[in-house]
Amino acid sequence: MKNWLKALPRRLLAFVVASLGGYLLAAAFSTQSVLSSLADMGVTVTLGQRLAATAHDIAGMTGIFLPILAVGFLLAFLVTGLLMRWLDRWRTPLYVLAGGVAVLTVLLSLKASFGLMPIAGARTAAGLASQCVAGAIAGYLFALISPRVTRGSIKHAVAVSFA
Amino acid sequence: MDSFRIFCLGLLLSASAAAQDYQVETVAQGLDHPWSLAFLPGGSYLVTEMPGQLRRITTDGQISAPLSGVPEVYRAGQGGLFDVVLHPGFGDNQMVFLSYAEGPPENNTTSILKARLGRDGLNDPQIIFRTAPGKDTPVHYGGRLAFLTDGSLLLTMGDGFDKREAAQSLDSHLGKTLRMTDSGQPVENPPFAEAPFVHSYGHRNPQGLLVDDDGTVFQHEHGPAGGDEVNIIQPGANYGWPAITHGLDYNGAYVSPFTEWEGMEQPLVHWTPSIAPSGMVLYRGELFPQWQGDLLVGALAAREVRRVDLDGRTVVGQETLFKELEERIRDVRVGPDGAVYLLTDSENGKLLKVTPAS
Repeated sequence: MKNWLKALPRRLLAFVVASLGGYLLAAAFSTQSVLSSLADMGVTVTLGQRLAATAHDIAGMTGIFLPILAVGFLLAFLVTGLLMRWLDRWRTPLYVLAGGVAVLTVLLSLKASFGLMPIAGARTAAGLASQCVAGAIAGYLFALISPRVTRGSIKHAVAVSFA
Repeated sequence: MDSFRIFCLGLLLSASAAAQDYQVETVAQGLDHPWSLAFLPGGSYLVTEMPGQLRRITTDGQISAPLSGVPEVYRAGQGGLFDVVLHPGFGDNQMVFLSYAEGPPENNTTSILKARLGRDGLNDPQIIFRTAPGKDTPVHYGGRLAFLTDGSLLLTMGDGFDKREAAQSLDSHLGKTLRMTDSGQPVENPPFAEAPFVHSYGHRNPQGLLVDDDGTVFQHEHGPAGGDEVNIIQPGANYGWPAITHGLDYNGAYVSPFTEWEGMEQPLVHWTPSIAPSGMVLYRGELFPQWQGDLLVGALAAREVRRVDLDGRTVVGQETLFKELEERIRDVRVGPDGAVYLLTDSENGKLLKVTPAS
């Protein structure tokens, strides 16, 4: 328990960095998808406008999209942390997978709940895939920054599952 | 300071006087999410309810049982039974037109039924039009109907939300004002030969439509978070959605960073934050001379009627009306008597009649 408490700040840091990183990429990918559809309509977007729109959307979506993604990542990384007792050798790929699946689950759940896709950049298969890539990178960041779990009892594994 | 107080008092008095300029009478209540209203000869009313009932209301407020002959509607999300309008020759042919959401869920459409109104129901019903392609989202159906002065019929159609780019494509009916004959056939010489039903495009979810006496077509449409618009519809014109808009996506992102673009029309007026406009009339009655020639726009979210003060086709002011009712306003009409009629949107929806204070 003492070691767990000692590692907690780093785990929290890993979660914050992963969530923010995943969110930044997901928001940016969504913006590019939306701007791409505008270009298909003959509305051309300069690089400066593209950068400004991306910054706008990253700031604008923090109120809704960031918390939803963070909850998704939290659940995904908790479950993956539990699996580390047995699958530690696959640690990084599993967190990458968990991040991608978390975003996919969040977006498909929203679509099922509302009957529509609330993130415009995820309406197409390619857009949805890009969102999952953002989630996968969030998982990679978490695996990279968070401390590794040491083998122990199941009780201990539960205690350190957020790792 | 004294002059300032007198000025403020004067403002309060004039506001109070304005508030007493009208009286509101409940004609009928207990309507289930009423959506549209039509006036029948003799003074009775036809009212649609979103779950799929068409009812007749007598002059003394008696609500009939649901009229027979109404098709099964797709009641999901924003879908259901929408508009009811009388044919311009109703006195001779008793024809009425209904717009409604039609299933199946994965391929739903906004459809138009034409039928002859009998005593207890609709006779000879014919589905004369279905939007294409179908969509799989239960929102943004449009659904307003209006006859042009030449007898052709307009239908507004929403973009289906997830299909918003289709509003810029002439291959799709989504996000369009559609025009057809009263039999649902293409009109002669449409603006786009390759898309014979498309009258205008670039719309999001238009749920207000009227044709003024001189043939001018006014339409309004819901924006997302902001960007509600009133437009004057010109044949063949592009109203910009989603390439230009004053609104943001609900998640806070841009739908587009642009509010104007060459070849795309600007709205007559737009609202941010959204008022959620629904139903609209241009006042041409005699009971309220101060509203003559102005637009009265129902508002769901803002729970009011927004009077858009027009000088010709120029907006010179706006006024909030009927806020004290605290009701979501689904439809606004002017009766043959010059009174303003409102439909409120709730499970206990009401038909209200507004006349000058006695």
